[in-house]
Amino acid sequence: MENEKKMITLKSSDDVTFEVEEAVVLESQFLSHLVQDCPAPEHKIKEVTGKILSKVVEYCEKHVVVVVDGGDSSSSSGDDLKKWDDKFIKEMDLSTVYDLIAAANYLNIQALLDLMCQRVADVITACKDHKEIRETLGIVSDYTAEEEAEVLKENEWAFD
Amino acid sequence: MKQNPIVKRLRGYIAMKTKKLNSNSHKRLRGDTCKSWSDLPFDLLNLVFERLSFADFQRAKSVCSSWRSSSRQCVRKNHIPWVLLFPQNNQSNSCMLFNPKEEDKFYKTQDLGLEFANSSCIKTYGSWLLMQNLELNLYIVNLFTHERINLPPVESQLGMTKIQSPVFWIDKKTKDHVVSWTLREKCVVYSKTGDNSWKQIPKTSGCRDMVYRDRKLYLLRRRKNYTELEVKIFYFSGEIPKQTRVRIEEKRNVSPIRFKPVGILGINWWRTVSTNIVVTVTGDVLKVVKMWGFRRWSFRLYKVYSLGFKKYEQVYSLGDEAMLLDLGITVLANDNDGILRNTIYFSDCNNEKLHEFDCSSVQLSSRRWLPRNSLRHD
Repeated sequence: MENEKKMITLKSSDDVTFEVEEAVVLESQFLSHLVQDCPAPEHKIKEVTGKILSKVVEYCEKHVVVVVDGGDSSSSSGDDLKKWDDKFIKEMDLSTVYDLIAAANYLNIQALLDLMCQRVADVITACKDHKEIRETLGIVSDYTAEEEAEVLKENEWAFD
Repeated sequence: MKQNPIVKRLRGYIAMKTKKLNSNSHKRLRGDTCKSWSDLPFDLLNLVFERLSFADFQRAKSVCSSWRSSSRQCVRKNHIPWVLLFPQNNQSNSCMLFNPKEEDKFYKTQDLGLEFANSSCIKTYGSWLLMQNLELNLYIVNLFTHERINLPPVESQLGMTKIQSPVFWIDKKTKDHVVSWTLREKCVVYSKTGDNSWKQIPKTSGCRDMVYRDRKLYLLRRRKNYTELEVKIFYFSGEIPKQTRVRIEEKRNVSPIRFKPVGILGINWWRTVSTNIVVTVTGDVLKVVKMWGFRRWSFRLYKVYSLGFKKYEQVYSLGDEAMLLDLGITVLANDNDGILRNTIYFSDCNNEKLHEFDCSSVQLSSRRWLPRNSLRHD
């Protein structure tokens, strides 16, 4: 509060840079350790592209603001945050979700990881059968005909 | 309060942030060889799987082999128990599964065969069922995979007998198993993997209830003079079950009056229906007295064994645990997942062919056969 806000620059694998407040960086366990251990002004994150890092930064910024301003988690800011999260994932294609799962896991941002995994779970839930799951997620089945028959028999009850 | 100017980007690609979703975006990944949802690492896939309902989880197994093999290692959280309805009136050889969360929706298992339909289920453990067929022999069968393990014949060794207080445990992978039950209150018999006969455990007469948990058999028995109850614990880790040192005795003269609150007109309206033992998450042993009065159920709980020592104290709260009385265990409850903390789940009729269970979680899946009704234990 009394200090000037410390800014940190993050650089993606494709050299896109983002300047963020230190508080934003602290949302990521990985980055907060990195910043503490190595007080350089700029940190290169080789595993994450600019496109994905921009999403990560956007998410962390939003969440850090609410924690500072909101105080009580049951206040309306909690609901606003949820609405924001919903919009955030709805506008996202599954390819980005995939990359964000990997990035959130790598950067250790639990809330973002949870949000993305929930999104995938919701997509799977919305599918009526395994074929639609494959179609939606672009998975090519590697089962042989016999294996597929076996696994389908085992799980037959779960299909309508 | 501090106003936060959030973040300034120096050379950020802001334009990338607001890409609009196009209608085909779900299919974007197709043909992308460097990343595929089937190659998602197990621990990440697990995070997705644990958020699926049980039926969706089963469907997901059928997607590809890597998802199937991941699903085998997936440790799923507690979910609301399912009801398992056994075939009736020889109309079908399938069971019906019902998730109380999904109203009016039933799932039908594959045809489990005529012998299954003619057998009765006497205990469940995860998706494994302990069945007794028309010849009174016992077998274990998996509801979904059909794997079956025949147990040593009962009648040819022990004669016509009723299987009382059955308990069993099976390892999902190795299929190692232990089955134990009470032979006419005379003694407890058991059979382990590879045994071809039932073996007796000495000094186990008067057994009223048993629980098997974490390789230990917990046994509640009434001693000869009928004035004392005791709990014995047998370790099943070695070749022969070994009894532990502690024996908990309860002088009956403190009960039953103490258990039964006196009702109106000084008449004792509470009737003790059953006394069971329950082993908690931390290994404490509870004695649970189930009573009926005023057209409702009531319970009294007593901790009789804790941290290796005998004890005797009444318990008024289960804390964050929920009791699955028919399985003789407690589990950690998470109110969001359908199992309420500080709640006792029980079935209201011992012989009813209605077994509720949850096939989804490891904690829960450990043992089941539970609850049709739940009762908040305040």
